[in-house]
Amino acid sequence: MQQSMFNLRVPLPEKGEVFLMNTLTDAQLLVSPDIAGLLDRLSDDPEVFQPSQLTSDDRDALATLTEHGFIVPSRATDTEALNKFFTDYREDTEQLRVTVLTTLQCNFACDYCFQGDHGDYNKHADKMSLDDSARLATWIEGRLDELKPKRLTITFFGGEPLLNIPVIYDQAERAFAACEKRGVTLALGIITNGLLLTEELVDRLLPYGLGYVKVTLDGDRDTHNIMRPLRGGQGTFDRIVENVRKIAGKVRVAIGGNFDADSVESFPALLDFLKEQDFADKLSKVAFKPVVRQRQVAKNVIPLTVVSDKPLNGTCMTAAGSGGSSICDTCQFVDEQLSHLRDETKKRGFPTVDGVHMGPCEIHKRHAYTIGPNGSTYACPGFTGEPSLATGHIDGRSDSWRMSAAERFEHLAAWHKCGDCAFIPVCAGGCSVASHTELGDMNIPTCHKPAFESALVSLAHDAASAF
Amino acid sequence: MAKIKIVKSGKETAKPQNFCPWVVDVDAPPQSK
Repeated sequence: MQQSMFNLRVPLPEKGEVFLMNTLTDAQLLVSPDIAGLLDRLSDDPEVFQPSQLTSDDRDALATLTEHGFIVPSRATDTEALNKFFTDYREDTEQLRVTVLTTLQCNFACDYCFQGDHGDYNKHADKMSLDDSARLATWIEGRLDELKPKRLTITFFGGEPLLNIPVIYDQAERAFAACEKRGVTLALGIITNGLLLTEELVDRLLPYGLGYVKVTLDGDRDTHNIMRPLRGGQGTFDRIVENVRKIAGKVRVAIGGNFDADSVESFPALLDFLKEQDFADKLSKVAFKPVVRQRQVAKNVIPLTVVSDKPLNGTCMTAAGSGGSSICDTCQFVDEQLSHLRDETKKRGFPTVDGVHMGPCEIHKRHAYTIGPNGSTYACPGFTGEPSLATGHIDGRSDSWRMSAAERFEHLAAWHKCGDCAFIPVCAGGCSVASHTELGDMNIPTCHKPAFESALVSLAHDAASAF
Repeated sequence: MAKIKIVKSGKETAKPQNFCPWVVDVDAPPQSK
């Protein structure tokens, strides 16, 4: 018997305890230091399991640790369990997830995004037609009949999805009817810049299962207005906030935001502002993320791409390596700021992510699809800017290049290069889009182990406080 | 004295919260009809 490779620990000397977590079973324990010591003895000398060397308390403790996955028969057992975990995750049929890009057009002109109201982009950007929407609904029905899931989750995204509201209504109505017929639970979500968000829209979608709306604010008022302006430079913050105020009591609203080195310091002021609003207690989640940038301008990867010569350009989200020991300066910056903003968010009482339970993301699920406006299917929304990486099409066409792309995603497993990192079950090798965009290979991990480690410490302290 | 407090059992798998830097709120729970 030996310690699981997925064990993590945080000493809490002020409490006289040690926080133990196993990332594969998600067991979390607070133990006395002698129990942690028992695990160490096990690593040093597996013979510790000899009954003659154990007290009754030790035997009970080892039984509990084994029950929760902290002790396993062998490394092979861990590896086998990890493979099963990813296989089960990938093949899960409980939920069919579909992200629908109603359009690639956008009414914002954010300088970090290649999409949007720049030049003649919107003139040529795809927009889903009602005919294609009907075809998509038929395709979804086919998947429902094939999989027989308990839930269908449709997320509307873009571009700016609210630039094509007729398709949103069409999808919602058709999906609702399809789910009613089959006894499937339907959940709808919208990820929007918030400018066109109205009560009317929410009221119309609520009966169909609208579960949440996610709106993006990139910093405090002044910073957001610089980061996310209209084409003419007009600010958008006030209008978005007023729109959120109108709908906050009707549907769960999540606030997201993208930060870079120039904007990150304004986020605490944004949090203070949100805390003062009458809808503060109605926000279901507040969480911020780094702007992901490319090394090269050439590729179109949505929605966050290059602005050259900025401090994070080309390096955030990229420190690859076995177990994540090589972290570049800017990645370290991102990791520190992610932790800092999470703490600031928690300090103000907003629900947010814990920073440990981050993955695996849906790219590792077989039955999660992103549908582009023209009906092409993608492994995740981050790849929709590269048509050559489409994995299929809702009309069933089977071009060799699509099949080839599908094959690449079928075998996506960057964590194979992560050695014995204990965070693999909650990371899966990081964001494949970041790997593809910044490293040129989606099978190389994007490692942010320090961010996970920092989050683990917070999780441990939260657990200790709760007891 | 040896003690173990169970914060969370290893028998219920946690749901991923949100890894994706682009989009996906994977924790958005289903809404009942």
